Amino acid sequence: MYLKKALNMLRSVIKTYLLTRAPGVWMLRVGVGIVLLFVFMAILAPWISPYDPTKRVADPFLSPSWEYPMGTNRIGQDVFSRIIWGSRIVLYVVFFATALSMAIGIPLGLISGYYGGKLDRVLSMVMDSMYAFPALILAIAIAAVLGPSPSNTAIAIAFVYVPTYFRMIRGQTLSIKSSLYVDAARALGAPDNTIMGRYILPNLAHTVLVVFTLSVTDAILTEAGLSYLGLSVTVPTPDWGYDLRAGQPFLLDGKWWLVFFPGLMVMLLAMGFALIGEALSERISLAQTR
Amino acid sequence: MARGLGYYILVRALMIIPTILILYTIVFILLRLLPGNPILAVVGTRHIPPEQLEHLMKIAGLDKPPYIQYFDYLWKVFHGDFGVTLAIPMGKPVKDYIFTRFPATLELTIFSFIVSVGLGLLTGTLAAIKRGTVIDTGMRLYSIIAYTLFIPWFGLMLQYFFGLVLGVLPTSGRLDPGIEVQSITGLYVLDSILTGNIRALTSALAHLVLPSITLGIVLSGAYTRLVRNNLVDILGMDFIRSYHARGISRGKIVWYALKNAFIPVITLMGLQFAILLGGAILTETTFSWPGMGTFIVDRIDYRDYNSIQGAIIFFAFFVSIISLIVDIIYALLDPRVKY
Repeated sequence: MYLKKALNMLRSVIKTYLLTRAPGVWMLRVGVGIVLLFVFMAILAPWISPYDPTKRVADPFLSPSWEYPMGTNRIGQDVFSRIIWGSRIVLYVVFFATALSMAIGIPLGLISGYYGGKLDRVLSMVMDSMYAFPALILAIAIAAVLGPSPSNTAIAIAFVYVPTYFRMIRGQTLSIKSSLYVDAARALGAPDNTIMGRYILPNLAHTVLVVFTLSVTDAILTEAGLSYLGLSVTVPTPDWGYDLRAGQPFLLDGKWWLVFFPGLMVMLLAMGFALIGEALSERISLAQTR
Repeated sequence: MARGLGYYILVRALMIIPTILILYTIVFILLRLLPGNPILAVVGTRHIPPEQLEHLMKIAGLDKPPYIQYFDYLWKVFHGDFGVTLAIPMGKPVKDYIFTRFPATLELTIFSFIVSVGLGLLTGTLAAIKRGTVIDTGMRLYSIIAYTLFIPWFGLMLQYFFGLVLGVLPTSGRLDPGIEVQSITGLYVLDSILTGNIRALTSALAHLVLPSITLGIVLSGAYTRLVRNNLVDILGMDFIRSYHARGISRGKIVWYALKNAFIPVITLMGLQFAILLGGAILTETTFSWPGMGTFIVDRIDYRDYNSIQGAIIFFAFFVSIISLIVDIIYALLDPRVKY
């Protein structure tokens, strides 16, 4: 019953978003394709990865071949297998981080924008200060304090992206708050919670979706950056940013595959989300101008 | 409300104080949340005589209760003192590091900034003129790809190609070994021009090429989109049509339109600056560039929290100053800004 409902919903989403002739739909299709590819890669890692990513399987520094499609690293681990398993870490960190910053940023923005007053002024000031500061540098400081682990990286990233959600939700709440239907609901005696939850929040869904895809793009690059600086995972966990850093000293000896493949994956995944965000924001701005 | 530009600048400058206070408070609390004694973490052993530990705590200013530490440090920062390093070499003023490291970061940032704005204007204008063509779509893709490039990866690929395969450009540091510049401003390009040192100038410029292209391209994507969209809007306006009617050349018209499209670009410059500094940390690490970024990363390895705190407050100050300057330029350029 529920499954059928969910499938129907999924079908209508696919129909309205992917199977249209709207301009820019190709970006959405390519983006969704890339993201799904990585999601499946992460889920199916134990079955599709040819070797154990943490074990020495061959001589070190073998260049790419049929047997080892992306070569082997300094320890003789298979780079391809590490890439596949590495997708798990990055997706875990990124989704945990984004969910956390949404869980904090959206309610705070809603309350701040709805009630206004002193609380709003203080919150806005704190959030603006954080927003103006380089996110990566703040994330580095937090990650350094928390110590290297994927969950801590996620917390550090979540922390720096709270202002993004806060500012956007607060701004939208401010403009929706004064619309006629909110006044009507208030006149009928609806409590504040109902107005915020039922009348304002659902109207923010589209904007949240766009900001979500864009902040995921940023979060992917931040995660890779933090693990490149050694602040995310520890040996022998496979992680793209970390593996790239580990391969860096050997790059100018001609061992390009140690750097090329992990970094390419970071870019592809980030691009997948960027394309989705780009297409969605275009669709929304088109809908608004019409 | 019209109280003049001077008043606007004053109010805007005063706004820097709460911004820095908030960031300082966040960082201060964060660093104190850390379990254990930071001195012991640095020394790496629990077996040091209590008197010596006490002495070290005193040097680091950790012998007082946190709220006193908070105000003590604030007072020091107010006087331009950023505390002392907690790790090897212990007790060295953080300010000294900032003085030697910051010019390197500034130099990298300035050149990257020029590259990113230049490329952004070029690609954005091209996309707007060729609107709806393959070139327009191509520039759109360029902006997305540029934005999603992972800085260390892109930088290392450039190193591989230009440093190893072609062997034409240096891949790390600020100068060739054996070349020295008399330090005046710490900006090697400027210093070598001031001292008339041509060898140092070419070396410094050669070392800047790859890092600033890396960071510049990554940040250019945002400008591409903005310039394109603004220019498309402005090119469709009535005054542009009247230019056409008067027979003014197309190149000149685009130039006039660009001037009008520039105001939002300035806003973006202010916003992008924070991202530029964040990107500089990764670029510096990729190119072994001895700036603030590599300083922070080095100090994290030592768990030297005083240095990290000092560097972050310094960055906060710097970012605030830049956004102040951007706002002032904006107010001067756009007569609609109320102040």
